[in-house]
Amino acid sequence: MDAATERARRTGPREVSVAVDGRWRAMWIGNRLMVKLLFDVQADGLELWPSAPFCLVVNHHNGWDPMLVMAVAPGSPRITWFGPKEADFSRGFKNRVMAFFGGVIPYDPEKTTLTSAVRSVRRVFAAGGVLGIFAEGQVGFRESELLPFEEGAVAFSASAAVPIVPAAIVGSTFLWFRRHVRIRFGEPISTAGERDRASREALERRVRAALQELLPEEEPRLPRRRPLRFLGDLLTGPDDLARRKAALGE
Amino acid sequence: MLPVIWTLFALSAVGGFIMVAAYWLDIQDRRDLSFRRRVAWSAGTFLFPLTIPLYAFSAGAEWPAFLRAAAFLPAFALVLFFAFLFGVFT
Repeated sequence: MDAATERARRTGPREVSVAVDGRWRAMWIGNRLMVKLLFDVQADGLELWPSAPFCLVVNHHNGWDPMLVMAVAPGSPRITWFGPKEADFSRGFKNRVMAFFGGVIPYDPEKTTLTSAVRSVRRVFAAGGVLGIFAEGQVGFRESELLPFEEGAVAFSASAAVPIVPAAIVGSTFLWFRRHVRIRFGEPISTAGERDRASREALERRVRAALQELLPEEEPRLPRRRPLRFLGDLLTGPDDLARRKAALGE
Repeated sequence: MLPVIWTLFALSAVGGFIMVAAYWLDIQDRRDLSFRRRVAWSAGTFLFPLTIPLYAFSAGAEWPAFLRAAAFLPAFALVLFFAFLFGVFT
């Protein structure tokens, strides 16, 4: 195994491809079948998607979130996800799957240089791809609220002048078999000309307000019995589960 | 006919394994059950062809129709296994 392949196995794919090839198609079909069998997923506002490239700014509640979005999104254009903080892509089932199929830009502020992450993002936009990013940077536990945003989503989109599509995943905080999950896409927000700091801050407020509008007004009531509740925690990391336990007093 | 039965067996065996795992993990999440009942249902895994359908249709499980139907997969796979073993399909 050459050095480049070995490094890719450990740190994730360096070359970000947005080509809709056979491997991507297989992953997209397999993911769609599995997610639609396990959960009752519906999308609103898919028709609002502009032509690629654009940035999909999503709220984050669960490790299933990227798969839920991809289960309702069309196979083309291909979505590349920014931000899994993987330390080693050659270990663990989930990491190996991600490394095999690609479509991720790993970023950990302590281990990755911002320059290489930005370069990968630019490649995605230049190739006419869609960048998916969880703007909060971490998992939240309330369906009706957003955590403070990280800078990435707005900065990447504004510097490439690509539109931002806000997307809210409603119902993924607690998942169980056939749980109803709704993915709401909002109107695209233009980022053209938003270069200076003040205008980027205003843009972030607009994106946040648009995303907040797509969220429910109050927390949904959970049923007493949730069949196969373990499904919801399968892809959520132990750190996030511990935070949820502390936050919600489970 | 034999290839069809083999295919059915392979699919139901895989599905059956998944259902055994799903049954066991679902029991562990049943905080509404007493500790003794949870242990009893968990021990019932050894009698999975009977206990999984029994659990699926018991009042507390509230499994949806699809899961209730799939609860018979392990028993179905086992029936096919013994049918092969005793030369029913030749």
